[in-house]
Amino acid sequence: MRRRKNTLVIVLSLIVLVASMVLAVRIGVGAGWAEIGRAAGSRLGLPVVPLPRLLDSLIWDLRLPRVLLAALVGAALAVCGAVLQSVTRNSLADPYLLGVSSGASTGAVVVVVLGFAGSQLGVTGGALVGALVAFGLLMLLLRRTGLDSSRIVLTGVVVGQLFAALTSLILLSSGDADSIRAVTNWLLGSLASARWTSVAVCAAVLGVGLLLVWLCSAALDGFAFGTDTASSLGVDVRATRIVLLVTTSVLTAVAVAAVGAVGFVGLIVPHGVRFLVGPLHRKLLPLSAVVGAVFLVWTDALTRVVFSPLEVPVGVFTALLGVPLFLLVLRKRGEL
Amino acid sequence: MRIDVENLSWGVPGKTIVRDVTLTVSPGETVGLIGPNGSGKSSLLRCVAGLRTPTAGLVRYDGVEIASWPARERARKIAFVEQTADTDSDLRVSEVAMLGRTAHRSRWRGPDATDHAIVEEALERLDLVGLADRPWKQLSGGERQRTHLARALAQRTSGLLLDEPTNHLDVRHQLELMELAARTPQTVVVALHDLALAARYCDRLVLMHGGTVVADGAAADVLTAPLLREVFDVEAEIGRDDLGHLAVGYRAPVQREGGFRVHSG
Repeated sequence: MRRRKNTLVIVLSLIVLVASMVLAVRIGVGAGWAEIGRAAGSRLGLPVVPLPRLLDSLIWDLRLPRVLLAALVGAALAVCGAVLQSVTRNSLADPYLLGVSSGASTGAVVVVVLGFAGSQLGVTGGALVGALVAFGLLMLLLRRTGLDSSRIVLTGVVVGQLFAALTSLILLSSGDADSIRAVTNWLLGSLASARWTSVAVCAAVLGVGLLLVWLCSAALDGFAFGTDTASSLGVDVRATRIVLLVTTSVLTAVAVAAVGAVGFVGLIVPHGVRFLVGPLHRKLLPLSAVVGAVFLVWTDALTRVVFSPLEVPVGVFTALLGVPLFLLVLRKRGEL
Repeated sequence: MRIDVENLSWGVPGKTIVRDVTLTVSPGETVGLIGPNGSGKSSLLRCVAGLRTPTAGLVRYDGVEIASWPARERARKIAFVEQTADTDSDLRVSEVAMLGRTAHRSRWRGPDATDHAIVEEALERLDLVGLADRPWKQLSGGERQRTHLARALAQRTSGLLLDEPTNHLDVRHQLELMELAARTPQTVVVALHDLALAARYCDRLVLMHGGTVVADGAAADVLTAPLLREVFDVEAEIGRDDLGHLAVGYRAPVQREGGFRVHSG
């Protein structure tokens, strides 16, 4: 009975995701359903009148990759949040709050400033190095108390502030006029510059990463009662933690390289999903991915409409939604 | 299974907590580990469970040293219940018990019918069937303790290590739990504070003090007035109750420097 309910939830959420993406392509593009149908039709080789080149390019090269990237990044960040919350036994853990996203930003920005902005793989590599350095620093600062210390979020915020400051410093001192605008994108996250190459990189990495963490589902459940109990259940705590932390670093790095540091998705989504299907990771991880995708597709669509014609980074919006939830969780834990 | 502990020591930098312990537990035996706070019972159990690497000495399961065993193999052989293992997560009782099947499941699939049947049986043995769907946060201390025990039974191991399992339990559940520990065909090592309970249900008692084993044998040989005075700092009288069980009557704490100041003002 419960099994059937879970399948239903997954199928429904996938339908919602597809519908959301189709709607989001339409929103703010300045074209009706007929034009979108023609654009899709001509790509698929159907006998329809092709669109004018400018409109066709607007839909295919700007809007569609943007919506797809929003879905992929939302999924990746939500999964990272769910994994980090289990590994650290802290319901406030999220790649952004732990400073990993900021580290990835710094890494990506260094590569851009060095002049490799055109290479998506180079930027992603830089972001990955930055994410791993941030994680390393976090673990170094927590080496006495352990990874499941209650101080982890506080320490993460400090690490995040350090890297955010470094990013601003590097961008501002590089001196050119576009850099100042770029600062907000890297620090807050924006989907405005989405391209097909980042979509491809994100899709491939998300596929592999999601499978890897999903295979660790039982271990992630076992971490609930701490490392000793997990180990006595048969979880190789050290090896599993390394696999999980490296995978979340890679997922975060790819997301940040594509769109900058979007915060709070990993905090908001898994909390909502647990409410729907409970805390077991076999269900929690795939559903967090789908709900994370829907969430970011919609927040991005909203930022386009609400502030039009201004281009507001999507990270501003996720933060506006995330901060109240953060306070709610703190309150529930009796820390506020 | 047979458990051998040979010249085992363990500690943290600057402090040795378990010192040169040698101990054998025969298959099917129920051994009670007793001793005052800080005598090294929990640390010894963790070493025996393979959760800590001894600084010296070794642990064998059925004659095989466990130092290089993968966690999964260990978890199929021995189950361990910590003194307090709490969570913020909202797992249900049956889901916690299902954690016991972790080492028996493939990574690729969820629990199957066998896993569900084993969990169901474990819940039955601990009188938890009615609570199967209750979330962790709504459980009392005793219910949580029993849930952990159900999880350990669901591991279907031949060895069982319990650290103060009767904490939080009411009298009835304490007796039931110890009955279960005594009757199960599993080899059991159980750390206990209640000396009478230990004497009544354990085949053998091991008394620890300052990280070492100071007595090992039948309850009547371990629970003697001079040993209790030396190890626990209490004056006690050992007798038999109407049913013939060993009874421990405490007279008074031994007068010494550094005890509680009993009288106020």
